[in-house]
Amino acid sequence: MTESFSIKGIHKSFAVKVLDGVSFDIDRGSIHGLVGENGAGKTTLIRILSGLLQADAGMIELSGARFSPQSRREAIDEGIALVSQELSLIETLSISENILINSLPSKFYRIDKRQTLEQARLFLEAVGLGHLDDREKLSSLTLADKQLIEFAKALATESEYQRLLILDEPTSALSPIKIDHMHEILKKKAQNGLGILYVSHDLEAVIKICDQITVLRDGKIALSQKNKPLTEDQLVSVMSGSDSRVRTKRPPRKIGASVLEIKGLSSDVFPNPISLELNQGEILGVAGLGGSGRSELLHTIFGLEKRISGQALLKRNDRDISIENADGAVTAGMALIPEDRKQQGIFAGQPLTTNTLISGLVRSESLFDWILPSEEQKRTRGLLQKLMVKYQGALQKIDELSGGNQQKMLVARWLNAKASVWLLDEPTRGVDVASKSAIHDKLEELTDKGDSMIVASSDLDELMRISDRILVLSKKRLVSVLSPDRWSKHKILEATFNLNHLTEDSPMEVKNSG
Amino acid sequence: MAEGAVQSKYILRIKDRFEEIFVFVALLLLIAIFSIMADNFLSTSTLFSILSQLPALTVITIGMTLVLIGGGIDLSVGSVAALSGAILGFCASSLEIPLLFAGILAITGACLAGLVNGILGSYLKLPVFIVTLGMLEASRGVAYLVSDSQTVYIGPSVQVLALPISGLGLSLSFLISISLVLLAHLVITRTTFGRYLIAIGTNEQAARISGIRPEPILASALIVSGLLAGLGGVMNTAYLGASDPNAGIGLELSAIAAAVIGGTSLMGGRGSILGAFLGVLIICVLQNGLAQLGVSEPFKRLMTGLVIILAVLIDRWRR
Repeated sequence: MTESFSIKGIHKSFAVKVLDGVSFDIDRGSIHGLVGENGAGKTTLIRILSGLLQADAGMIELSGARFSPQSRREAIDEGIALVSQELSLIETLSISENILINSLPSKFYRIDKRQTLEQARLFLEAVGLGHLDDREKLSSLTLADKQLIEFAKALATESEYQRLLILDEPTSALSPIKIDHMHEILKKKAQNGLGILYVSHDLEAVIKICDQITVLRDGKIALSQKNKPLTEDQLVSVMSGSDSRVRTKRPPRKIGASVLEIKGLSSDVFPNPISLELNQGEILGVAGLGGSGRSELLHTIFGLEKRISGQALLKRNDRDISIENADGAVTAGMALIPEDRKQQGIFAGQPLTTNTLISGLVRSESLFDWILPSEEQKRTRGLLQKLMVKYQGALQKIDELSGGNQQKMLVARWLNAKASVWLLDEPTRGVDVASKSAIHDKLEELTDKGDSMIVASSDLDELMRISDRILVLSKKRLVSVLSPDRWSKHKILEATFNLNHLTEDSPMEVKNSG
Repeated sequence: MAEGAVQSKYILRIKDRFEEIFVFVALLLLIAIFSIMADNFLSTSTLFSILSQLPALTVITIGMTLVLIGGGIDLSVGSVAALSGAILGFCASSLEIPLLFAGILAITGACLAGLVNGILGSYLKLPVFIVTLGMLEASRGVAYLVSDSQTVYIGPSVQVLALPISGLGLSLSFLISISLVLLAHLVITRTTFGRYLIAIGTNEQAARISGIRPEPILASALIVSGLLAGLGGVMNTAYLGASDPNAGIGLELSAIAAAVIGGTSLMGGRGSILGAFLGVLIICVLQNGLAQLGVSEPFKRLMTGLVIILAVLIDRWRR
């Protein structure tokens, strides 16, 4: 019997249950694929295995010895290496120093430069970067090269104790040839007795190289078996769950004329020009995997990013307003609720009054308009009550509210600014169930009154519940547009994983077909 | 029931102003201590001494507090004040321009320094700390050039600003500085501009997404800081009756200290003009009191330093 690395009954909850009794075995000497849609719990599981996060319950077992790492250090000592999605390279050090950072060769308490260069060279050649000059600055390298250096670094930290290598989206920036090369190395490592956990959205690659595959769905194991008979299509089916689940039907919305027209728009962060139209009373959903450019698209439309081409036109009573920057967008009646509430949404430490009314000031007041505190508080209370925010007083600090209530406050902020075209980025992420449905209800109420919305979300159920159409992005490109009669979770996932490259409606020109 | 509501509202208001009340109590304590320890502390001469030193530091601290609330810092205020004084001296004595116009020219010069700070620090996004540090050196250099490194005697004509108005006992400088404290307090607490400044200082990214353009707001704060430093320079010149290119060395640190004692955060987004004014009073009382106790200069500085650190510690502990 092969020795294996057993994951036993891992539970983890934040505001909601993220992992619910996850158990599976990773055999030493094999490559084990882990897949699942956004929010299925993959990242949380990786963080627990590598010691970055502690499980609420459950443990890891290897040859009878049980452990639950309390820190990254403890996990390293147990032989668990991690190549994470976010690069952990230090830009001010040289390439070779980065690769050997965990065990720099030294001589008389000084770094032995020659040794460092020679040892690092071996690993660089192993990952196919033998041509790189060590004097080159990290910041001037491509993302693909950095990803390979990260991989070389993981190979360099390998030791006799090494038992498990976790790779989180290791090939997202690599070309097919380099991916093949990396896979060769992984197979060799596995043959030498290492266990490898390969986490990726690239289903084709997972099927090609993994010996076993586990699918996570909503924090539970949906499937864990030997790879051989599996196909990409089957994996997508398992990830999406049974398709028989009936979608909550809502009456079709009254959709009016076009209110926002985006023509060939591209920016620093969303480089492929995109064209689309948003109609009055419509909710346009935006789906895509992490890194597919959902937030980037919204930020580009809102004028927060440097434009490369195209324009965004807001149509107002026969007059078109071109959106050039965020203050222009707000003045024209657009709203943006960002994904990162703490960093981009709330003003921490400030009272609810300032937090709620700020955009309304921008929209309606001039720079030295007088503010009456009593009026301000009355207005804030009115707005917060409209959204059923739980709070104690208008001068209470925003920090004291729960995430869900903070999110509702953000909706109130834009209500006050009389926004009519809304861009919402993960409007209900990390929000409790009650607030979530309250927010959905409010959004639907607003569109009934004629507002229009673009909602980006990693939660497909949410998108299917509230959208009139769903755009699918992949690698910062629009790949398909789905309408309700044609979509299913399976179809959307298929498009996000980019299985068949052009789906249905013409990909670049998005018009409402209904 | 209604009474309860009124009472809670009242308590809320006190809680809201706790910062200032706390600093005010500290000020009273300080005065009490000095009154007991130094025989002549509670006297008109002490009062006049404090009242005459107060205006320049007060107006400069107002500017500093505005910039700090917006999340910036202005290290150049001391030198810009000296530059303004030097321009005033040069215009009044070498060019023989009427004092009023000389004063306007002096403050315009200081405004220009603030404008340069604003353009570099806000529009070109260079670190404000470094930009104003550069301006600290540059303005001092220009002040030396303009004055030929000499103290220029102007005479009693300029002192009208600093001398008590008969019958009132208060100088024009003092009245101006108090009015500016009230004005700036209203701008911060009651105007859109004040809200924007607080929002930007708290979270620039969120402010941008809320539709505020941070650049003009931050630049205006730096320009106003330059303007007020210029006014401070003029007041200081009036107090001395002469313009001294060496004036105002280290003044930026006193202004920062006063702001911080008054509850302003160096991280931006939080600050009070009234608190900062109380901070100025604490610094002036401390310096006069220690001087009257015959404390030596090194010990005086040690004590001032400790008070500043204590203020920040108490502020941190309260949160």
